[in-house]
Amino acid sequence: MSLVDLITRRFTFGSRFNEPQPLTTSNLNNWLNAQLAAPTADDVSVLQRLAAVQLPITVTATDGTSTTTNRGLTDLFKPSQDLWAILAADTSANKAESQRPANEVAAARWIRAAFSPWQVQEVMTDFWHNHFSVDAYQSMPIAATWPVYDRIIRANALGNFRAMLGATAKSAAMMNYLNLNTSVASHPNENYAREVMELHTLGIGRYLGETTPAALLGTGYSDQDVTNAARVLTGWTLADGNHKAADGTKPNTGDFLFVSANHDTKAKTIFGVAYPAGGAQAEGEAFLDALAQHPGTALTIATKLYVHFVQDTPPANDALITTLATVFRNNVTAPNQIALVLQALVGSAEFAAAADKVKVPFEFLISLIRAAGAEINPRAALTTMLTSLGAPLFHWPTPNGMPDLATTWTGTTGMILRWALADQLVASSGGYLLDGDNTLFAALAPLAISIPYAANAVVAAVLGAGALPTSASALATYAASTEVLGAKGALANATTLNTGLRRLVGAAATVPEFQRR
Amino acid sequence: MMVSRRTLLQGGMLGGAAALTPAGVRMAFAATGASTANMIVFVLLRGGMDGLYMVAPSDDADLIAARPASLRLLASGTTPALPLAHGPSSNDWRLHPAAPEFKALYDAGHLAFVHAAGIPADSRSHFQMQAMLEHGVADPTLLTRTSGWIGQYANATGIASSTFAVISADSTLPASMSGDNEALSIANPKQFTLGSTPRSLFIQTAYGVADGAVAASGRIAIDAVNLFQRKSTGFVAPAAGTYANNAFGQGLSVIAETIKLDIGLQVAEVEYNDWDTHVAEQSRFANSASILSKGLGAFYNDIAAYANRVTIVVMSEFGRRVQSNASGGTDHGHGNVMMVLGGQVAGGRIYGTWPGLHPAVLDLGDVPVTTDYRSVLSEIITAARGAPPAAVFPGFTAGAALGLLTSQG
Repeated sequence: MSLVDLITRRFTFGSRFNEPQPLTTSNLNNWLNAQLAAPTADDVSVLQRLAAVQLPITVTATDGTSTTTNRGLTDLFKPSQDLWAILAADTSANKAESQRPANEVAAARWIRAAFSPWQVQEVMTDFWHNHFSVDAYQSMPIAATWPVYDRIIRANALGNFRAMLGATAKSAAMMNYLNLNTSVASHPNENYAREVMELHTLGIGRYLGETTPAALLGTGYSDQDVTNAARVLTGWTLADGNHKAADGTKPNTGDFLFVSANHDTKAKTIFGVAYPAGGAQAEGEAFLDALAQHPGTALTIATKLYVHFVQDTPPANDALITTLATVFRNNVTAPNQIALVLQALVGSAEFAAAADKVKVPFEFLISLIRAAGAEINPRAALTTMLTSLGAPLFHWPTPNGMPDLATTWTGTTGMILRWALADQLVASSGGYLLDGDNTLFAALAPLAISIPYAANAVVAAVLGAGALPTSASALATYAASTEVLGAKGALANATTLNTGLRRLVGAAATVPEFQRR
Repeated sequence: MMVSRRTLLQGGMLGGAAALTPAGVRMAFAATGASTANMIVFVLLRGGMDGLYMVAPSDDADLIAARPASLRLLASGTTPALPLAHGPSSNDWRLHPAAPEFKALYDAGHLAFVHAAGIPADSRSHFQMQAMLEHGVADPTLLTRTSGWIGQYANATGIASSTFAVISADSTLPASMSGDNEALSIANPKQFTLGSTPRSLFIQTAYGVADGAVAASGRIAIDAVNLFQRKSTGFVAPAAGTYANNAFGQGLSVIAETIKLDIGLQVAEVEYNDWDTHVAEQSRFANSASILSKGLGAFYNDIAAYANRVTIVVMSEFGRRVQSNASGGTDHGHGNVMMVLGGQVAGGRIYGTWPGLHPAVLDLGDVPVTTDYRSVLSEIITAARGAPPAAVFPGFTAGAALGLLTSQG
C-alpha cells in the first residue's frame, strides 16, 4: 500500500468522491503540515451544510400529547450558559429539549466527518472523544451541555494534552458522568479520581493495588493515591445554583466552580509527593499537571495512538511507541503537542509498514458516504445504524470507550449488519444519501451503457488501488443480475438506473478490503 | 496465506489481560454432548423492577406503613394478589394479580423465586448496576477489566464448534455477551440473511478466498447464515397467537424456535425494559407484569418438550425503595426478587434469606441483598455444565448452594 493510500485510510475518513483537494504524493508534506495546523472553527463548507440541516424534534407534553417539528441545529453553537438554561426550561415529559443538544452534535458529527477539509482533526476528534469517553445520554445535564464537551475535544484534538485533560475535568459532562461535582470533603467520591488515572492518563497497567510498594514509588498509582486524589479534587464542582462562589453569589451557569467550603483542606500525599494543607484549587491543578507530565501517561497515549494508526497488537518495547512517548514528554507545554506526536508517527518507518486495521462502525459508514460523494441527511435513523452495529454514537455505556480492535467489530452480527446496512445507507429509499451532480451516482450514469464499465468504475471509486480481483469479478457478475439491471435492463429509465447503480455502490462496500482502515 | 480466525485470535492473546480469558476465544471446558446439553435463557428487566410489588409479604406491617394500598399486594379486594405457598417467612406471601401464569407455574413446581437477591454493591445507578450485572461483577472498578459474563462463559465451555451457542433475541448484543465474537443477535429471523440470491452470491464470492482476519470473520458469518437457513428452512414461525404481539413476545419466539431447532444453543438472552416506575406505578407495573407473565407462560408452553433442558432466569439491576415516593411511584432501591423457571427447577418455593422490612434492617431504606445474584447464576451454570471458571464472575466465590435445581439433589 502506498503512503498516500495509507494516510488516506488512517488519517482521513477515506477518499471522498470529487474531493476538491485530493492528497497526492507531490503535495503530501504540505497537506500534512496544513492538516496538523488545522483551524479549530468549522470550515465554511461545513458551516453551510450545518445551517441547512433540519432535524425533527418530538416533544411530549405532560398530558401525553406529542408534537413533532422540524428544527435547525439551533443549540449546536449556543454558549454553555444558554445550554445549561435549557435544563430548567424543559417542561416536556420526554425531556426532548434537554437531549436535543446531544442529538444536534450527533447530526453535526456526520456532516463534519463527511465534508470537513480538515480530516486529520476530524479523525483525532473521534480518537479523543473515545479516550475521554462520556455517555452523552446518561443524564440530562450531560446531554444538554454536550456541545460544550464536543467543543473541548475539537479545540484540543491536535493541541495540548494537559489543556484537554483540564477542560474535560471541569466540564459539566465529565463532572456529572464521573460524579466529581458531588464529591465533597465529608464524602469524597472516588469515581473521577480513579478513572482519570486508570483511563485518561497512567493506564490500568500502572495500577499498583491497595498501597504502593516503596520500590515502585512514582511508577504508578494505588488505591491510596485514588483516595487522596479524590480529596485533592473535592470542591471542584459546577455552578448549579446551589453553591456559593467566592463573591457570595450562587451562580447557575453550568460552568466550573471551585467551592472552598467543600474542599478538604488537610495535607495529602499522591505518588509520594506532598500536597500541603490549604492548597485549595491549585492542588487539583498540580495533580493534573503531575498526571500530564508522568512518563506513564506519555506511554499510555503513545500506545493508544500506535494501536489506532499502526496495528492492533503493539510489540513489547516498540521503538516507535518509545519515540512517540518521548515527543509527547518533550512537548508537555507545547500548544501543538499532539500534532508533534502525530508528525513523528506519520513520518516513521513503522507507520509506512503498518499492518491491517479494521474500520470501526462509524468509519465504515462515513467512508461509504465519502466514497459516494453525496450530500447527506443526518437524521436520527442514520445514528441509529451505529447503535445496531454496537457502536452507539456518544452513547458508549462505560467510561473506557469502545475498543479499537478488529475482534470487537468483525463478529457475526457485525459482519451481517455491515452488509445489510451498506445497502440501506446507499438505497435512495433510505433518504440518507441525496442525488446531485457531484455524486458518484451521477458520474456513473453515462458509463452504464455497459454494465461491466459501470462495475469497474464502482470498484475504482469505492475500493481504489486496494481492490481485490475477486471483488471486481464478483461485482461484475452482480452487476449483470436482474436486481441491478432491472427486469427490463437498467437503462429502462433514470429511476431504475439510479437504483441499480446505488446497489452496486452499496455492494462494493461489503467486500473485505473496504472493511480495512 | 489462509489463516483460520481461531488461530489468529489465539495469536492475539498476547496483548490481552493475562488473568482473563482472552476475548473471542472459546476454550474447551467440561464439555458435555451438545445435543443433550442444558440451555440457559437469561431475561433481563432493565429499569429496576419493583420486586416488592411482584412478590411480597402482603401482611408485613412495615411494608403496609411504607406504601399506600395502591402499591402493595393485597389479600382481599376486587383483585386480590395471588397467594404463594412456601414463603421464606411465616407471612402471607403473594404474587401480583396480573401474573396468573407465574402463579400456575409456581404451583406446578416449575417456578421458584429468590428474594432479597441482587448485586452486593453500593450503587443506585441504573448504568452502573446494569454494567456490573452484565459483567458478572459487584465492584465498579472491575468493569473496564472484563468482558460480559455470558461471553466469558461461552469462551470457557467448549462450544466452539457450535455457531448457535450464544444468541441475543434483541437487535444488538448485550454487554453480557461482550468478549464472545461468535455470539449472534437475532431479533428478527428475517434479517438473519445475506439478502437476495444475487447479493448473497456476491458476498459469498467476495469472501470466499480472500486472505486476512476480516475475510475469515466474514466466512464464519456466512456459515452461520447458511446453517441457520438450512436447519430452519426459513425460521419456523410460532402459530399465530402463541405470543403477544410485542418485542418481548417476538424475542421469546426467536429463542423458542432456536431451542426447537436443536442446533447447539447454550445461552440466550432477551430483554424487557419497562420497569423504571418513579411515577404512576400502579397501572404501569400491572401492564409490565402482565406482559412478562404472559410472555414467559407462552414460552414455557412452547418449549414444553425441552423443559427439562432449559432453565430461565429473570432479573433486574436493582429493586425499588420500600417507601413509595410522592409521585405514586418508587425510587431506585437495592435487593430484589429473581425468578428461576424450568423443568429441573425445584419450584413452588421462595428461596433466599428474607431479612424482613423493619427500618433497622434496611440498606439505606432498601431491601438489603442477602443473596448475591451470582450465587443463583452460578448454581444454574453448574447444573448445566459444571462450576464456572473464575473469569465468569471475577471476585466472586460461591458459597453454599441454594438448591434451586433438583439435579443437585
